[in-house]
Amino acid sequence: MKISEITKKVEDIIVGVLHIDNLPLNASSINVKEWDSLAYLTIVSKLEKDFKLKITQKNINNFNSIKNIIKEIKLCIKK
Amino acid sequence: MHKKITLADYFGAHASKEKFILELETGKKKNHSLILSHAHRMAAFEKIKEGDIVTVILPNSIDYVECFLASLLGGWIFNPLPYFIQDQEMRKIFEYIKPKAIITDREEIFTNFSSKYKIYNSTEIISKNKSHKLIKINPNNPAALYYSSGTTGNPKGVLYSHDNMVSLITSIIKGFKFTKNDHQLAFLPFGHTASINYNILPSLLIGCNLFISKGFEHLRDNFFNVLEKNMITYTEIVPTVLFVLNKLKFDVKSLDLSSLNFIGCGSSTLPLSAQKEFIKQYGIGIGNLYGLSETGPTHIDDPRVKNWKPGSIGVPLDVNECKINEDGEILIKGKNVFVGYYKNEKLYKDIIRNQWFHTGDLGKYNEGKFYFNDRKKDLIIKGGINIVPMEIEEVVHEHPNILECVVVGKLDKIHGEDVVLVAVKNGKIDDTKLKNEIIKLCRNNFSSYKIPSHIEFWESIPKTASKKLLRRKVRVLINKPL
Repeated sequence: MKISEITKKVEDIIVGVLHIDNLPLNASSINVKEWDSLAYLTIVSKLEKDFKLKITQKNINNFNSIKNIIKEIKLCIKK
Repeated sequence: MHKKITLADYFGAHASKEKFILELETGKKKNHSLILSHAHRMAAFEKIKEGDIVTVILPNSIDYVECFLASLLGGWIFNPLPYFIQDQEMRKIFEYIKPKAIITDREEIFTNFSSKYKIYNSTEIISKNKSHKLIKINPNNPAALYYSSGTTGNPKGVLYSHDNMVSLITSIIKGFKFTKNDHQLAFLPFGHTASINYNILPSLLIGCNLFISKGFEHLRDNFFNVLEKNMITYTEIVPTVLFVLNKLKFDVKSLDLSSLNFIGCGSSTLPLSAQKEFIKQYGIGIGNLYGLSETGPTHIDDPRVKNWKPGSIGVPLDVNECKINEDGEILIKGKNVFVGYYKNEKLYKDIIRNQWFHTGDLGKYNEGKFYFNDRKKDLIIKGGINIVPMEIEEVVHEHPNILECVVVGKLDKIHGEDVVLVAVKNGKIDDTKLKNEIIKLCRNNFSSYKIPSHIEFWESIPKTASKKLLRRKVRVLINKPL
């Protein structure tokens, strides 16, 4: 899967969970108030399903921004 | 000697310099003696009087606990709201409750509501006078007003008296075998009653140490290490947290968790399989706890009991009696049963008959234990937070292209339940366009957790012969495996 496709899919998941119109490119749990702890877990569970990611104690806090999510997915693809 | 009436009086009787509350993320630590003297000065704040409703919108913190104590000491009515509550929803609640004061640190609340309400930062709530006097409080006066949307979509405020509170918390301490040597951990949002009833108030009444975290997001990568490091004896979680802990498969073999008596899990249905998985994986007892805002916790499911088995909600706390009605409904009677619904005496009379509170939940009794089966009410519980479907339906109905709709809960592995909207379209309109408009409509009215995560358009919605929407049938269809 191309990076642009991954990014689009990640953005769709986030928009679907947070129900927001304009998702900033640097969207994160810091600058998007809808990205609260409940939404965080929903995003993680959808990413897990759609990208076959394995959520562990080590990476559980790494899904707090689009940038970090893509980084995690890339790591997972490499493995 | 001042007679002990409120929970704060009990706290005051033993507040010492040795016992403390610690904020895990900030490291802020304050002893009970200092907390008490500060709460007294807050209670004497000249602009808030006995009987005033005080809405508190603060993050989990020592400040929060001090506000609660001040409220009890001053005879205010403490009205907690979730910290991240959305603007429009807040507006609706304020109009209904009409608080005399709002205590918050959220800047936009000051900006948006200052013209109509008196809003204070917690640091402003302090008397100019350094000495304070104790006021005599009627034990039957409301100590707290716990807000919920109400099962019909109309707002509902549960009035909980000082006597309710002291009776309940005394019973919880006894039933859960809490002691003054305990270390309690509270991390669920303080705006909901779970942490208040299971962690904060028991630790204040008995005088044990309390560790506060701002939320599970700060604990999810080191939950068990935090328990070990702080020698936590008890903490309260919700099924969503348990699901995540099960998924993360922490290695706890090297940790010394011998201080931990057990973990309580409540606020929404705990699936037996998940409870068993947790016990198997971590070797830690997890109690399935039951209660409502109107009663507080009513039972104790203590995994330390000999021959204990998971699956039930345990036995009633000694503060109340419990029985199962002919139609299977769980009924509760005791000093922990609330004293009224705010501005709604009729509803109170409907729900309390012959002193028995009708929970709206279905259960059974077997071999000395009570079991929760299902909700008779149509509530959806997402991540431990109650959502009233009718409240969402009313708003969606406002859309001209919606003929009829039903909101139901769909089982979800992380949140327990998720919000699903089933609607019948009125006129020709593209599905995607309509879905987006509905989401927008919901977004303008609700906090994000209430927005449907899935929308389906059906040709018709199942109805009874009298044309009443068959919500339960829709729920079954939505949850049917494909």
